[in-house]
Amino acid sequence: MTDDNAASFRQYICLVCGYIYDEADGDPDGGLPPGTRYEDIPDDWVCPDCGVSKADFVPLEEATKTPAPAAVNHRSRALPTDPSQVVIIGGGMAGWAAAEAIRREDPHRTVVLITADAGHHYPKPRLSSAAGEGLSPDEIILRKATEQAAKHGVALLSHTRALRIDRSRQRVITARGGVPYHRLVIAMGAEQRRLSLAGNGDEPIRTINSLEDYRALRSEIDGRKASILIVGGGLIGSEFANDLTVAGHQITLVERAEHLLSALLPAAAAHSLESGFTENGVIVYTRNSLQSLASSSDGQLKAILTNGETWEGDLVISALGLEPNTHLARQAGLEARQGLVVDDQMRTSDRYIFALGDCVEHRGVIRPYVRALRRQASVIGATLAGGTAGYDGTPDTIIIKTSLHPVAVYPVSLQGEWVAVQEGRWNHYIGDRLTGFALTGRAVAETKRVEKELRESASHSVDVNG
Amino acid sequence: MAISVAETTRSTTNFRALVAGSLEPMVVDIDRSGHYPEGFMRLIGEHGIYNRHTTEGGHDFAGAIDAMSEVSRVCMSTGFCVWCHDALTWYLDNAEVPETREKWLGVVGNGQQLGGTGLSNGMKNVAAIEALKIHVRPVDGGYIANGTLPWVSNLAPDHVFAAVFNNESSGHRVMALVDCAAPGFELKQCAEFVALEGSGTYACHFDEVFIPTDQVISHDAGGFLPRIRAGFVLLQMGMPLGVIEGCIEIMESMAKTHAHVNGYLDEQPEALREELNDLRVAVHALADEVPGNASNRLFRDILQVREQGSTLSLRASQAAMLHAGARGYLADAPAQRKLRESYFVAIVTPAIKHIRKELARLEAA
Repeated sequence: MTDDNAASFRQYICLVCGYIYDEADGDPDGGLPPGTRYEDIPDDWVCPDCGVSKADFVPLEEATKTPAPAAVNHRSRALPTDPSQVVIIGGGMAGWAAAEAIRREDPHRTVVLITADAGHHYPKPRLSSAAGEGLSPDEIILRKATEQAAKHGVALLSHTRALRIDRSRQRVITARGGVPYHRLVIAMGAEQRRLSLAGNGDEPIRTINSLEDYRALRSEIDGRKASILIVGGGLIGSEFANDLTVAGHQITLVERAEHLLSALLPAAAAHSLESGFTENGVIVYTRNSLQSLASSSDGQLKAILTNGETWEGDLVISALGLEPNTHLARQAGLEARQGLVVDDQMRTSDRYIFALGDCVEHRGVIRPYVRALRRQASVIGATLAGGTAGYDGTPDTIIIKTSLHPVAVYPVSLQGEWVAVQEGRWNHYIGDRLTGFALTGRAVAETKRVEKELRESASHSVDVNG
Repeated sequence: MAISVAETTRSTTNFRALVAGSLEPMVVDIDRSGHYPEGFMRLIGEHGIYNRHTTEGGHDFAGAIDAMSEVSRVCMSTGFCVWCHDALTWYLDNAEVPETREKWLGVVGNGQQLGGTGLSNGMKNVAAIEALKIHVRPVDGGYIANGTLPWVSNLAPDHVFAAVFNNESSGHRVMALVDCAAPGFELKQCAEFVALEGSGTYACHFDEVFIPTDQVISHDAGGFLPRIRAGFVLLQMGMPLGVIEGCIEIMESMAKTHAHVNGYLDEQPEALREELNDLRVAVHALADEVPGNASNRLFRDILQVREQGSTLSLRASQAAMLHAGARGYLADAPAQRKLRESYFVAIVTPAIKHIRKELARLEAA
């Protein structure tokens, strides 16, 4: 079916992750040709970024036009004390996903959400992409904290930091007082690793991990062409390099490893991304890092890289990778390795305490992705309601939203080998079995088909091996 | 020798015994006659109480607050004096002029030289609530000061205190130590308060008072004040923690004879003790973060805990009155004294209303 009135095409936004479905573009990877109307999207279609169904989409203008409530302090000073309440620590995507899942399974239970910041509901991946789309930081907020809390029937304690977890008394201690819990859910996320180096301190180095960080970044660079050094060419560093370039800034990207996205991609695939970047003006240095940084009195920064190159510019962003926020949990004596250790029901070593999202380690693996936390939240919701559910840790395809040169990768283990299959496609094999893939550029459009091949290969090898 | 005495006082039991023996007998005199407990203030200095939160004491803010709480449990007027002295020690430990730190930190830290803090005006000035009340002009070897500062505590003619001055020639804020014995300086008795009359509180008059360089803490305190504000406010928590504990003990003692009627009251000691426990854990957690942290985030958390300290003090003292009944209404009764003391927690800088205004600003994002 075609629609000759292109101007009437509408856009819909995913309320979970912020992906925008444009009827004009469709989602060819997901089987929706350009021009597919929202109404005509089949029910089994899922959001390509986070995997939720079309029911979680609303018209874009509806999501962005919601008027912000007047800045009046209606905050209740009394803390919630229902002895059967579930308390969630963390107001990021994982915390809100848990609140939503718990409420879905149990309409009556008291749910309390404690968050150190305002608690606005926004898709974190858009902290990078908003700049390239010409949106202000606050335009990525899907729902203000108070509206989000009202929607899910949550008692919200915003601007409130959890200082200690007292497991023996089952209380979360905040500066505003203690909050008792029957069950506790930790969704404290991860921090960007910080750089420590010579020069006059690490103060001028930013990490972008929250809306607050992002507002500060944008207020410095909007309205001019800024020269920005990004240290770390992993997922977040690469996406920021992409989006800030699209927004018109001059980016230098420095990566310590042999190539970009070294934990995810084979070298050849990374090189094609690198070419995509350099063709668009990004300066990429691999096998390199920041040696020292100094700021002059006029605020200009001067960096020396380990290869001897110097860089001068306005801003340095550190994107060295995520470090799970486990401090509070460790202090409370919960088992933590790289992340906070959870079982298949997302339980920590304390049976009354659950955890999800970027702060957890499940079967030895940390999966800091939106799809993973959505599944984990559902498991917590079902378990708390007395049901049986499990999270098996199966990886999902990771879509790296580098619009200059898109990448899709199905993450692989250390064993096995990468084989180039065609232009922009690499397969990963262990023996004869297809165990992963990497697609770049135009080949990304084949993601769904390759995922299917992968699943078939997996079920085939299970059959063979009994 | 001093070290071993200090070590023994680190245990709460020993310090509680010291307070019971040396301060408790004077409490009514302090409250009703305005007696300033100078001997006790010096004695606990010898026991190392004022040095816990300094660099030398390993920045043990929790230890300093717990000691202040033990004092406030018995007499919050004296607990306030301990805070004044602790705050002064904190400024000196952070002094930007090395000669000042060198000359004063040792003698103030061990209580040989007692002193107070006149920073309320300076702190309100930083928050754009008040203009600075004392002005200085630079001269050879220091500054000359003029003006009047109301309500500075823990003072006596041989004490010192820290204050913030407006440098008329540069517009900078100068922070310095004032010697109450300096020529041109005068302490003036204030109108009588309903409590804390034994806290050595005076109005301070400056008439061409010379302040030598080795008393200057910061020549330009614009950056200094944000660095010390977290410690300044958190240390005050010794007062509410102590007064609430004292109130709960009053309720518990009344239970022996009045449980059959006191059980009908809204506030009960068990629940209050749980909240006090939470408050103490929060204070200890924040205490570990104070050194070297000038962030708005930490200051927000400290203001929240400070507000909670005020509201819980008011609730606990009100409850102690109701539990004690007529016995608490006697002029010498601890319950009504604690009621009057608890209002001080809620109105001394930063008062509940100031905290809420500041929190509204910090939480606006």
